[in-house]
Amino acid sequence: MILQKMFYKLKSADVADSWLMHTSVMQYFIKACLTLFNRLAPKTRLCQRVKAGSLGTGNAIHPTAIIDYDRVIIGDSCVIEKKVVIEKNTIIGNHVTIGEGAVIGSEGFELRRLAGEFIPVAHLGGVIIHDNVCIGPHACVDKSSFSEYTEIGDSSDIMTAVQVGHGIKIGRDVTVMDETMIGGYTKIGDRVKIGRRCSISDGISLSDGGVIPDYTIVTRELKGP
Amino acid sequence: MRLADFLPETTKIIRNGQFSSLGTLFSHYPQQLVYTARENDIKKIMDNPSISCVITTPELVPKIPQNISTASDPDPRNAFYALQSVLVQYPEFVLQPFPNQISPSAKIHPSAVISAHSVSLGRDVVIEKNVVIGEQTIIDEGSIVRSNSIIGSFPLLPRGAMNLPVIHPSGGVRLHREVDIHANNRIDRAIFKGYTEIGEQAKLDNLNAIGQGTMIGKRCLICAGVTIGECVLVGNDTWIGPNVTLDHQIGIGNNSYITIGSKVTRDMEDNKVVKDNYAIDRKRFRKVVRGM
Repeated sequence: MILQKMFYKLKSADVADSWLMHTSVMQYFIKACLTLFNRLAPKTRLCQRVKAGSLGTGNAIHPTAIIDYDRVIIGDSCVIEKKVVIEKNTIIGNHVTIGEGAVIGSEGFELRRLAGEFIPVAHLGGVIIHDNVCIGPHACVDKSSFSEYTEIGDSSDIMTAVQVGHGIKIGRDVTVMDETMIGGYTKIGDRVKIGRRCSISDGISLSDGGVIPDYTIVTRELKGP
Repeated sequence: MRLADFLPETTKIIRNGQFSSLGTLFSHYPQQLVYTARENDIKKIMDNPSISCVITTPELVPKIPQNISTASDPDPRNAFYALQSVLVQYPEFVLQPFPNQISPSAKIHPSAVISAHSVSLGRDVVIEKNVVIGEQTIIDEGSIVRSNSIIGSFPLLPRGAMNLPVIHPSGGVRLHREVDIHANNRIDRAIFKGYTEIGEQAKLDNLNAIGQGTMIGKRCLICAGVTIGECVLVGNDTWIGPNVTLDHQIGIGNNSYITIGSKVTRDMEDNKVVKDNYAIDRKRFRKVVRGM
C-alpha cells in the first residue's frame, strides 16, 4: 500500500512536472528503484493476489487452453474455449464464457521514460470476472498494477478483439462491441453500451446508462446517459 | 536482372534498366526496384540513392528523374507484386535458410510453436504461451513476445484485377534489442528479400497488426489495436495511440505523436502531433474547430 501511494504520488502532475524530477540525479535514482522493484516484487509471496487456485464444477475447458491452476480461481459452469490463456491472479465467477484465443491477466502497458530509456512497471494485480460474463474471441484483459484488480461486472459482454486495459472497472450489464480499445484505469458504469471500433482514452469515467455509437473516440468524462 | 525480362505484358517499359533487389521507398538495398502511385513519393525517390528502377502510373512517368529506369502500369502495386511472384524462384531474391540458433538462456514456453529452421533467438529472450514464430525470424537479446502473438506470419495482400497467385514471402522479421510485444499481436514477414523491423526498446501493446516490410524506429510506443500497413517507416521515439490506422508506404517522422483513433494517409514530418480521421496537424485542427 505504501509503495502504491508513493507510485501514484510520483505519477501526479505536481510531482511529475516539477524541476526536481527532471534532474539527471533524480532520473537515475528513480530508474534504479523501479528496476529493483521490477526484479524483486514479482518474486515475493506478498505480491501474489491469489494464494491458492480452485476449480468449480460443470466447467467445459478445452485441452488447448493454458491456465495457471495454482493461482487462478474458476467458478462453476464456465466455458473456456481453445487456446485461451489465463494468467495468475485471476478470479472468474460462475457461468462465464471465454472465446478462442483470449488472453486474461496479461501484463499491462505502463512504462516510464527515465534517463533516456523505457522502464516498464511490473504489474502485480489481477483480474476479477464476475458471473454471467461473456468474453469474445481474441479479447485481451490486462491485469492491474499493485494490489488492485481489473474488474468486469455481472452479465457484461465483451465482444471480439476488445482490449480491456489495466486497472479498468466495468460495471454490470455493459456491452462492449468488437475491436473497441479501452485505455487503462477507466471506470465504466452500469448498463453502458459501447459500439464497434470505439477508442476510449485512459483514466476517464463513463457514467451509468451511457450509449457510445460505433467508431467514436472518447477522450473526456461522460456524465449522464 | 533487367526490368524488361520479368515484367508482365500489361506493364509498359519506358526506360529499361538493371535492378538487383526489391524494396520500399524507405529501404536501402542495393539497386532496388520500388513502386509508387502518389505524386508525393517522387521526392522520396529522388532522395533515396539506392533506387534504380520504379514502377509507376502513366501520369507520373514524366516526373520521374531521367537517371532512374521506369515502367508504367495503371496499377503499379499489382505489377510490383506480380514481379515478386516471379522473382521468388531465384535464390538471389530470397533470404537463405539457416539452422535454428537459440540461446540457452532463452525461455520458451512448451506451447509455443517455433519454425524448424531459420530462427535466431538471442540472450534472455522470453517466448510466452501459444506464440507462433515463423521462418526467417531474428529476435535480439532481452526481447519478450507475449501470449498468442504471431511473429513472421504469412502476409496476405489484395490480389487485385490481375488475380495474382498467393505470393510466398522471401523476407523475414527482425526484432531488435529489448522489444516488448504484448498479447495477440501479428507481425508479417517481408514479401521481398529484407526484414520487417521493430527497433530497439520499442513496445507494442495488445492486438496490433504490423504489415510486411514495415520499419519501426527505436523507443516507439504503439498502443493497442493499431493497424500499420505494408512498407511503412515509423521514426524513433514516436507515440502511436490506440486504434490508429497507418496507410501503406508512408513515412512517420521522429518524435511524432499520433493521437487516439487517428487515420494517417500521408507522410508526417518530425516532431508533429496529428489527430482525427483523417489526421491533420493539431494546430490546424484547433483552428478548424474554432472556426465552426
